Amino acid sequence: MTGAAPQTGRRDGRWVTVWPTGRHSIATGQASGPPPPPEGAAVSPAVAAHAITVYSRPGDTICDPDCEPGAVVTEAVHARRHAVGIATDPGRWEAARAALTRAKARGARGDGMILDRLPDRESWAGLGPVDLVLTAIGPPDPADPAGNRLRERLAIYRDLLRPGGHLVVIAAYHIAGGMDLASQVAAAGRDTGWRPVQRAVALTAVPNTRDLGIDRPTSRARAYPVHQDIIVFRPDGRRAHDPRPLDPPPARATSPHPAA
Amino acid sequence: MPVSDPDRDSRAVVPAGRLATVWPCPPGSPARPPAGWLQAAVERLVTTHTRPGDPVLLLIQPGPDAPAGGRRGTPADRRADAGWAVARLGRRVQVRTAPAVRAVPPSGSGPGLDSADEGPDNDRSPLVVTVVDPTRTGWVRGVPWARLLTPDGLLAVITRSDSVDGWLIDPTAELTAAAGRHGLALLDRFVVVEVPLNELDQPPGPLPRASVARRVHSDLLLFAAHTAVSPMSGVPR
Repeated sequence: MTGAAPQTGRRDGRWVTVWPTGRHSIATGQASGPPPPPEGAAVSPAVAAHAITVYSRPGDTICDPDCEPGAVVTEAVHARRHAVGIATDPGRWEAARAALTRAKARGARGDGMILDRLPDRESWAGLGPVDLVLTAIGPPDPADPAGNRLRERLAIYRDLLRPGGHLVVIAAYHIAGGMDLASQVAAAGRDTGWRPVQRAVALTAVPNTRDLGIDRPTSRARAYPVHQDIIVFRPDGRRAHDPRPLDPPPARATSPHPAA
Repeated sequence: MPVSDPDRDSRAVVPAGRLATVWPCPPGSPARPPAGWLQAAVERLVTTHTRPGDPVLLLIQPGPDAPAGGRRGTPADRRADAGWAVARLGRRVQVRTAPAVRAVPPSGSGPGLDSADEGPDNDRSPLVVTVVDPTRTGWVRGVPWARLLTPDGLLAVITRSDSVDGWLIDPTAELTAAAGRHGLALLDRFVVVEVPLNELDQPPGPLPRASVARRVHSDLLLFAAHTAVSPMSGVPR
């Protein structure tokens, strides 16, 4: 039913759209109850390490503009990249700074810093050229159903990245407003001058074919997340280009920004 | 990899009555070749969302898609395998081709879904399964999905995202809009892995420039009537 894949560009078996970043087995429910599902906006060390390996090179600079809890910066400096984390919340800043200090104490070769805000004209220095912006995005704020804050956030990221760099967004599995979060992120990226390049999947647990939960549900419940969605962007040098018009989802609020 | 502090060591558990969002490809065997990911996905859908004796509709995308020279593994072969799998599970399988035109024909003549469009409730299925090419989604708009389903029925659309000329082609928005016109809303989005998990373990390096990762998964979008979908993620209705 599905035909030959029309993907273009060179491909290699080492790079696939499903990242083997799950470190836990999963099984059907036990009486003790499950741990909280991975629906929040967090980057695990395994997912951060995979993204850094694939989308950057040693010596590159990596930025997590919403640094929590520091996995991106610590994995980056361990991988001989330079890292900049931005955490505006004092508690997050402390946690990220402590994680970075531990990484350096363990011999990480890259340099890193944690800022408490994005550099602006009054800052003594900017970030310099950033090769990879790597960050997580969680479920949208219910008070912002139109996704304006998501667009604002993605628009700010454009100023961080050097031409030719990558923005990699890790999106929690979340469906609301008739659309999954990753699709909302991809659409918001298009609206703010990003070119979505590819979607991938990062496993957060190891799926087992025998223990996936095959009993008929007594009530219709949403699926249990064992993955996070990955959306890879590059700066869109041709903002007017769109390979085909997209229909707006029926239940999604209209954006005040016209599509690029 | 990774080298920083581990995040948690607890054993993640899928609660009873819920499916995991990732469906791995079953390992190959003499009875099931590795290319059986689609058949396995359909089997999982059927066993979890229907009972023996229930009708299951496999709706086929219109257009040239015929078996090729006796070779197995063509799209038509996989469709036939999926149909046999449904029948083997004791469900009444119907395989139909969707109309190629946008509008459903008003009369009962010719191929298509016109009879289902106006048919009685006993023509409806608790599960409709279809596969959509991400570059050919126009036909989806013309199908009266809600009329093919029982009131609490599910529409399962198997599709994929591709990278074409450096752009992501993701049909989710179009499919969601098409389903929404017929009163259906997205309930879940599953990841169907097309290769055995052990094929994912090759250590990567920096992705060469102008390259994209090899696609090894498809997406399964599950739609239900708007009234059947809880607005809260993860909460049973």
